[in-house]
Amino acid sequence: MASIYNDIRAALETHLSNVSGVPSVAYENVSFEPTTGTSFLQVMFLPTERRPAVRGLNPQQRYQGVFSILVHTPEGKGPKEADDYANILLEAFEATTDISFTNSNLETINVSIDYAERQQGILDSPWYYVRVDIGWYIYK
Amino acid sequence: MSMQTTIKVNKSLDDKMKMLEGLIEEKVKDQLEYVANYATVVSPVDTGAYVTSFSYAIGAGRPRGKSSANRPKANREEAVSKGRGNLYSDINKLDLSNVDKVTLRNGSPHAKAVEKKYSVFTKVRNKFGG
Repeated sequence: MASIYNDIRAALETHLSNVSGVPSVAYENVSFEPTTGTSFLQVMFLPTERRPAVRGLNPQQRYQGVFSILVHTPEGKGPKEADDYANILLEAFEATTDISFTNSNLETINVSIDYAERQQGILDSPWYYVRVDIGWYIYK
Repeated sequence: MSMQTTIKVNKSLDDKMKMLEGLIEEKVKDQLEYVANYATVVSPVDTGAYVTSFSYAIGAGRPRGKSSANRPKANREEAVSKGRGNLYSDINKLDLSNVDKVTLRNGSPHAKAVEKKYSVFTKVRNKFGG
């Protein structure tokens, strides 16, 4: 069912909210005013595929996509802080991790992590940011 | 006394191998066109500079790149179609007979800013690998 996207997003965002040692999170389409000089994470839920996993009638679907986390730290203070946060996130979303989530209808899903990787740091004044991409998939 | 054997080359087999090579090359071109369609469709369009700055290349090469400065707003469908056309043109010029990698690039000066906001390459990598 199409609402599975709500559950996948909720699973990933809930998992992130339980990670300790990272700054506050700016969620999509939620008002967030970053304070210059204070680090924050910005998340993006990027579904890329919905395909029948098998042939035949009413096949199970494979959903996949990326949960991108942009780690923003203050510019001019070196890469360490962003690197440290990125390391925490890579560990929290390590490949082969299964993330379980139960929705309000008491249906439980398990989102599997396919990969977790980071990109190079980029200066975007007044921030220095590192992108951490979490590749996910689920059969439903 | 030396020994020898003569192997008859099967002309028919040679023809079949050539046919298979042709089929595989077509399949690769189809996949590159699929990637081109996806990358241009998920791209944002304002002036059209970004979506028309994609290029395919084998190895190093000067990527296509346009600045959005002083450009008027573009029609989305036209800009996407032009961007896709650029990539199709690149595909037709590529010699795919002996390569294992083709690189998709965007040489517009604001490509990093677009990636931060719209994650175009992140989505392409997730969907098609790379």
